[in-house]
Amino acid sequence: MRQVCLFLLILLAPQDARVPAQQASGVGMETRTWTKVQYFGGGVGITMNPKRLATWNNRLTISSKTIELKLEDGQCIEIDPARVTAIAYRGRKFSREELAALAVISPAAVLLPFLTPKSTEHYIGIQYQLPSGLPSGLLVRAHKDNHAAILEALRSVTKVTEVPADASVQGQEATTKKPEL
Amino acid sequence: MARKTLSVAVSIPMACVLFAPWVVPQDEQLACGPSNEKYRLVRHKDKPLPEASPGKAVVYVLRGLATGFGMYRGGVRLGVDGKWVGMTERRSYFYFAADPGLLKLCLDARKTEMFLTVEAGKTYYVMMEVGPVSGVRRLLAISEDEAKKRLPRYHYATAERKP
Repeated sequence: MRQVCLFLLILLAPQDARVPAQQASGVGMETRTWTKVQYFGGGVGITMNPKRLATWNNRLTISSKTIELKLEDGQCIEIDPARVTAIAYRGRKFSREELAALAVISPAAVLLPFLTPKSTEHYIGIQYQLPSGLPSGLLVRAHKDNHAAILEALRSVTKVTEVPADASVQGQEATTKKPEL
Repeated sequence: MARKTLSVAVSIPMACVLFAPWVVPQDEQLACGPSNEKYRLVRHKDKPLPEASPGKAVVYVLRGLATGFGMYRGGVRLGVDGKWVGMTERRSYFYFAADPGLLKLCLDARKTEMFLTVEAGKTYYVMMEVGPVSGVRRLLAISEDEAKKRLPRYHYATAERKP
């Protein structure tokens, strides 16, 4: 009877109280996976099919042991977190200002920039060293729903807290804020 | 007449929304190359296809026809690590030599970026995906087979700096 009660208690327990399914064994953070990620180059020997360029169906997995990007076509990029030298994030805002220029042709176009929402593209750059010592990198575009979590996970597993100015990804901002003077 | 005017007034903006990858970036902080350097495109009749020299990698940059309506014909510059290395037009290619390591490629059109890790003695092929109006939308590394299918149909073009 006691066992039956215990079983029912476990079964009825709230989801949050259970151990996460993707919890990694051992010390360190849990393994986390995101699927809405676009690949923007960097992987050694990785080539893309131009017809499947804009796909978001790639899988980024971050754990204390590895950072892995598995592309839709099966190609895979694996990075040892210990080899990461810099992480950078840049959010690019886009507006539809050019649409306003169409007012010359059509007065109704004046309203379009106000009616269409602005969008932000979230780019995350990871720089690391290959086992051969060659500098390499990975550039991905994250979704608005996952870019903050990905950055947080990267900071957590790589322990990269500050991007040196000479190592930062060109034109991108460091992930961490400089200390206030 | 009024109905025709109304349909034009509605359909043109609608088309622009539907085919608008040409939204403009608000941040201009990304420096693909020095903004004060102007270039003009020089077309060549010959089609050189050099291989990588010892200790260097060679990167071919190809640009095909525009997708969609194919309206954009203008030149697009490519910057690598903050310096301009070449320029393309439709159905053209150029190449450049690079030291082994990580290259940060960047296009002046829409400030599109791409990372490319190159190793000494190897050849890489980068394709520009072109949008219907504003030009290049993004870059991607393509396979040698894919590049060799396209290269015979493209002409070789270089960028000449304007005084």
